Amino acid sequence: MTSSIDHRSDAALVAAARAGDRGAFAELVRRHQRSAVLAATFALGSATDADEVAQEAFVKAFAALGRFDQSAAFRPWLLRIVTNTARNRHRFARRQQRLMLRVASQVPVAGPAPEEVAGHRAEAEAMVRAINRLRVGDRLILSYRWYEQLTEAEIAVALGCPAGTVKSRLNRAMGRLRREIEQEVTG
Amino acid sequence: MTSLEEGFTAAVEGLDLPDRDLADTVLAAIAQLPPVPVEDRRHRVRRPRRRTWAVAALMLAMASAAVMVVAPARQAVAQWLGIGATRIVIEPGAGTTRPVPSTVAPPSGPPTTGPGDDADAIPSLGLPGSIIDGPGRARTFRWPAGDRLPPLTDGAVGAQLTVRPADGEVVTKLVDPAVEIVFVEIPGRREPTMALWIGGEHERSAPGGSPELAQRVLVWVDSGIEYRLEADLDLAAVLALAAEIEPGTHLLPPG
Repeated sequence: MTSSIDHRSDAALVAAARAGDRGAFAELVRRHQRSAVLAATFALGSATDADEVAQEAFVKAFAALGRFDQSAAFRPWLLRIVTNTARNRHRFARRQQRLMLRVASQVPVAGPAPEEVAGHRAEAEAMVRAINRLRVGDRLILSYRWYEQLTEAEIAVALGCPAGTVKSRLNRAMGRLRREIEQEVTG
Repeated sequence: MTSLEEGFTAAVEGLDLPDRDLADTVLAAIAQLPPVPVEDRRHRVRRPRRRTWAVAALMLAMASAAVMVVAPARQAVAQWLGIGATRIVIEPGAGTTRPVPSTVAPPSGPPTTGPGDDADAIPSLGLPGSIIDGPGRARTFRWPAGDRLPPLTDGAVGAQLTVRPADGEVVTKLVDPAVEIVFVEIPGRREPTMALWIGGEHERSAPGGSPELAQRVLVWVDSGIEYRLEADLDLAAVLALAAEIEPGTHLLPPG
């Protein structure tokens, strides 16, 4: 089976979607789905319903495409809609679940030694526990900077905050994460 | 890359996230919407702070534009989305032929067509005439009926806004398929704020209560608060009223 890859830029896809090409918007969904679900997960505090939030956000984004500034990046704008949608979910305040690491269901035939895998997993679990204790804004800004590799200007769009405050917010979030990690280490 | 950053990204990579393909579902939902027309951003305006005729006219333009930008969705979209703790159920005959206890008087006449060429006809909320707190941390603001706000309930009320936490008990709206349901955007907001407009009589049903006959209503959620604005006006006029409402927890009674 072959799969075709759409090599058009986000800007080209947005322009096509605004012109009525819904296939172009579907490509945007596929391209940014993981980012949207992750942002929803961090905003909700759990992965439960994160895909529904992302789905709703994509529909809202499509409906608002006419107002989207085509000179701007699509993903930060989308992430802002995702987190707003997550905040508006009526079950938002009741969620108590935590982020969960994917449980490896298959034993690798070849690869790192089991003890090495276990070590990595323990590290990841400690990091996830630390992330769980962070406030939503800290999780999001760290994810936007480190995982999504957004620029400070893009983070400002995604968080809906002044661009001049991103660096200090990021530093504070990193400091809080370090403290949480220290707590993991010291028990 | 710092070790902290490496550890963070590795942990995020390992998170157990839903991974179903959303593209088809999203396409199915937006298939209910019309193509998105391009709107020049230079035409965007902020929410009016002062009521002047010029600003009111701009607001009217924004309200009209919002209707055009996010034109009518079909009932399927409404059912699929819902709004806050409000659920939409399409049911033939709901609110039209079935006898239900009515807490709201029928419209006194044909609905106001809303602002036309005459800016003087634009309704405006101003200060509410009364504020009533209800169960579930709900608060209702009522504005008296007047020239631009036709009577809604007992002849004295022209518009009614009910706010409540969006994680409150689920209220079901039973709507006849013939009743207009429009998926719209509140004008003048920095971020897209979508709302559901039910443009006719329908049944409103809350757990433990009797179904009530309800009139046209605009429902939206902003920052965890559900807003329900009722007025016997057309959609453009109700959107103009909604644009006046400053969202925030200050509207809720103390929790």
